[in-house]
Amino acid sequence: MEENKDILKTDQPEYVLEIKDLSIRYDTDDAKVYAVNGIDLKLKKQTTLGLVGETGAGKTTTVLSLLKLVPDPPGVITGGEILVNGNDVMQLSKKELSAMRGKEIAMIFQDPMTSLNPVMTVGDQIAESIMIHENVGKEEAFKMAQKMLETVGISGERAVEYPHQFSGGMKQRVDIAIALACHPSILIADEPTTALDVTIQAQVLKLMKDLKDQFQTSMIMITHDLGIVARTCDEVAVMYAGRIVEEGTLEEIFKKTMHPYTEGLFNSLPNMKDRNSKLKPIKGLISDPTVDYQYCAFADRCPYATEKCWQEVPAKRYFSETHMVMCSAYDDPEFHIARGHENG
Amino acid sequence: MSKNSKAAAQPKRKTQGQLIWHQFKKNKGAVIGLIAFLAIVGLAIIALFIVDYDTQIAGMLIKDKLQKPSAAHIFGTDHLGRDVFLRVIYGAHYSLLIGFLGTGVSVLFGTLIGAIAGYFGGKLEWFIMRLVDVLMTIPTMLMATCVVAAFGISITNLILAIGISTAPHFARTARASVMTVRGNEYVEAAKAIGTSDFIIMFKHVMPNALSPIIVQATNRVATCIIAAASFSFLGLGVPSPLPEWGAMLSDAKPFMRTQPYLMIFPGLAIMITVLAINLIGDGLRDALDPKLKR
Repeated sequence: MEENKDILKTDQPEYVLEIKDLSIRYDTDDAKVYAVNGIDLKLKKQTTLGLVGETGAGKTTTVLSLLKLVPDPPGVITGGEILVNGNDVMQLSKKELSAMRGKEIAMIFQDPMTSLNPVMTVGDQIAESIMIHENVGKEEAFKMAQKMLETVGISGERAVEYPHQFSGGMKQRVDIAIALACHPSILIADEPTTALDVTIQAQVLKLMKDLKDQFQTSMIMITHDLGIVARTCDEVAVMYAGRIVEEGTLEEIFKKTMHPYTEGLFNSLPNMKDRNSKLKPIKGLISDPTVDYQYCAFADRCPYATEKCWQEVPAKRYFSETHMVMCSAYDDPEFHIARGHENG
Repeated sequence: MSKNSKAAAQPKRKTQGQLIWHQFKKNKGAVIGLIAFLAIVGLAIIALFIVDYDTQIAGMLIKDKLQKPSAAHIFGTDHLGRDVFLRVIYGAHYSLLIGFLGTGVSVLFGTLIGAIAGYFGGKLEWFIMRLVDVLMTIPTMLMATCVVAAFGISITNLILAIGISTAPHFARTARASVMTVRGNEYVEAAKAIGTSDFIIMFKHVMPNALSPIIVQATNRVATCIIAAASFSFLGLGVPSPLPEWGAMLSDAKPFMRTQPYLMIFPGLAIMITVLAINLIGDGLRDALDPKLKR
């Protein structure tokens, strides 16, 4: 398997982002919280990676670390490497970091109501990013900001207005405009539509997809909505308790689901064909993040769990070049989960 | 969108000042306060030009002493025959000077160290806030007495004494306010586009943290005026021939029963000024809060 990875690396140097064995821990007074436990991720140019998982799985912590924005204290990056366009984020100086943020990686935040500064006009907020990264004056930056607003479908005249004069969906558009203002090579969207209603959600997602293509940006989409994943992503990584338990192309994850946790996620979706059917939630609660799991963290909720699951952290197993699953059950070559079996 | 591009080229930008004024106007009390305040400032400025300091303020006109209010002397005259009205309006600029500069010193120091403590946190915060705690244990009156005893009686020393002894209050307000603002997502968003700490602090954090500081500052101007009057009343502030309101009250003490107007008019001057400033502060708070905009 090690060999396999190396081949991937040399054959395809066009990764904009590589995360290697990243671990992040929050050291609080009460406990140590193991937020991210040795994850590997690679993001190809112009692809969209969906990062899926329950609340507390470590999705946001992972992406914040890409910008070195994990609050420290209490957050400590305990190991691993993050390469953005080949540069190791951990080794960057404060100045280089400032130059990278917004220019190479930009982020769209979850709640547009709180992610805009209420006392600055939206134009100034977009222009701020442009002024930091492009060598332009105030007036020109403002004009570019207006153009950017029009790109996201808001009239440029409104650049002089304040965030409270915009609706939620429009604020999220402004957020997108800020993030894309300097044409970053990676766009991180942290549950960009969670705070929006469903009709606006669709519009915003479409806009993001269009702009992603227009600006040739790669994207990491954090969400717990599998519908959004299906609509926007090329690749999917499923996170549980700080580990990526299954990773693959959209098709592999949706059609050839392997990991019991991923199966559980799909089973918890409401069944559209049979509206009277009961929801099938994953039993139990999300694992305690203050435990440093030296075994499969999902074992106590897993319907297929065996003795072995409690003894060691499952190894990474590749079922295709792209499809990785972290589950000991596949030691048994006969093993398969119910979902894949039913679907044939 | 293209049809908007022409209009977009020359956006009608309402300045921040215009927006605040628009909100401020809606508060009637604040407008009355502002008018009263401007009247006091106006009178103080006029007094500087029309009043002859040596004869009318510091001089002695014994034959006119202790006259009741009349057409010639609308506030009457004091025990040295000086016109109380002229002294009151001339004295306004001392009170205002001390009130505003004292607050200015206090806001400047207090807000700066408080904001730094609140924004950066950690050991720096601990150090600054303990220093502030120590400063806070010294009563304003004692502090002022010490400063005056060490450096002598003068207006500058009084301003410094008042400013330094009230700075800790601003440090605490600023720290608390900055800490709430610091946790906002837009601060994180600003970091995420590569904004430097300096710009985040002054462009994103401070403007959003200022409202409570401004409200406190306007109240503080009023209390500084009262403090200045108290110090002068006790003989620690502005020395006697200068017509500071507190000093005038002090001078009028022996005549309180027979000539009460000698105390009433400077007292009223203090009251009206303080009230006007407080009303303005109230109006400013509403006007500066973007969430109250309609």
